Amino acid sequence: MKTISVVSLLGTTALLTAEKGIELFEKIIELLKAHHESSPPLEKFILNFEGYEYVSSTFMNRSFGRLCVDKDWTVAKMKQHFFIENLIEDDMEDLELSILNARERSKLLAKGIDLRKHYASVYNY
Amino acid sequence: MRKKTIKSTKIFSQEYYSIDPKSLGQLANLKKIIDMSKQDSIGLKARFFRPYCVAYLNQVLWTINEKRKVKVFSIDSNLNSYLKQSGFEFLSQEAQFGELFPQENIITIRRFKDAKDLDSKVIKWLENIVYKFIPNCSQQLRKKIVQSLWEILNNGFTHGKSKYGISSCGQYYPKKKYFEIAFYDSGYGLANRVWDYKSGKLELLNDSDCIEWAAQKGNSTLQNPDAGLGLFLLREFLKVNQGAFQIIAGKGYFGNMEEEIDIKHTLRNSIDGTLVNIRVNISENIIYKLKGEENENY
Repeated sequence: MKTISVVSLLGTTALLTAEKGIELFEKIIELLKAHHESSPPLEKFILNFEGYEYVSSTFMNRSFGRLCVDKDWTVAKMKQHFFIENLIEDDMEDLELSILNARERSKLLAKGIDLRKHYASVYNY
Repeated sequence: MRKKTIKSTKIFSQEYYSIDPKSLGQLANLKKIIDMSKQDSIGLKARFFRPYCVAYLNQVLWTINEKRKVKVFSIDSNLNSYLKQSGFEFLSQEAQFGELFPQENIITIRRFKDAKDLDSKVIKWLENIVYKFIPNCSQQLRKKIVQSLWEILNNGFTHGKSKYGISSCGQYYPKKKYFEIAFYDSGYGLANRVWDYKSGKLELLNDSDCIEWAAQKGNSTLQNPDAGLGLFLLREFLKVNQGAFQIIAGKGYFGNMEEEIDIKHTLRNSIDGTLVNIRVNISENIIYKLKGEENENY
């Protein structure tokens, strides 16, 4: 099974910036495309976070949040396509939150709902 | 004709600047007074500054010094020593110095001028300077703190876009078992961003409502769906930590402090840009771990 070291791919143990998030997003898209186009289909790949030191919500938003919005995937659906390893539980929760958040905002946009109007009230949860 | 001999002006303002709305309003007023004064060396009747004052004044003086040269000093020699030790860049030659503070408790001023290579700059600064003040806790939780501080800086550059970057300053209070660190940018201001985003279609009434809105889960002035978690996660962390935060922009003040949660105030005077102050509790009585660390002992 193919394993991609996120730290090696992005060249840093600090997974903080939007740019790095986008870089990971693009790599995942590339891998998914290769997976679907190959015959026979390739095994699921692994995103290995071993060695990372820091991760931010910005990074999670731009990588996994964007991925699941583009693909219209829930967290469970995403996990059917690849594995994530060596991300501590707390950061995994933030990853899932970034997906939930992005999907909610995206659904509102898709319905033509003005996010400004929807979030007009201070308390929206 | 009266000869102008006064070289410096004594400004009578309050002496102790805490992180309460009154102090912040006075600090904003101080900026106005310095701006309007024709003196090149201004004396402040101030005896105590929290780090946010240092970060704020340092950057304010950057903006004023672009038009004319001006420096400040305190009538209190100990405060002058503190300013010097903090790396304050606009201390007047008239400053007299008193008792030195333990240098190891001071997180000196750092001005992040731009967002270029921000991640590596911030990591280096946090690891080399701030790290030692981080709570006695797990390695994982230290990372969370570093990540939180990065979010504040990243937000400042993404939304604030100040010409002078972001100034930070901090202090460790060993007897009180916490450290505070403040970030200030004199850019557009968080409240203004929210007002612009909302374009009047909202139930927000004032600047502090805007700040509160920005700190909710999912709220962001960015149009893309993958946004809106940074400030929320910072708040969540500080809740668990029993720390505190204050965000000030325009006349808005939003934050928590000790037992008061999500308090809002309208300041008497407006602050340009955005000021974020956080207090991280490092008391040994608070032992907490991230999920996944429950079985580890520290």
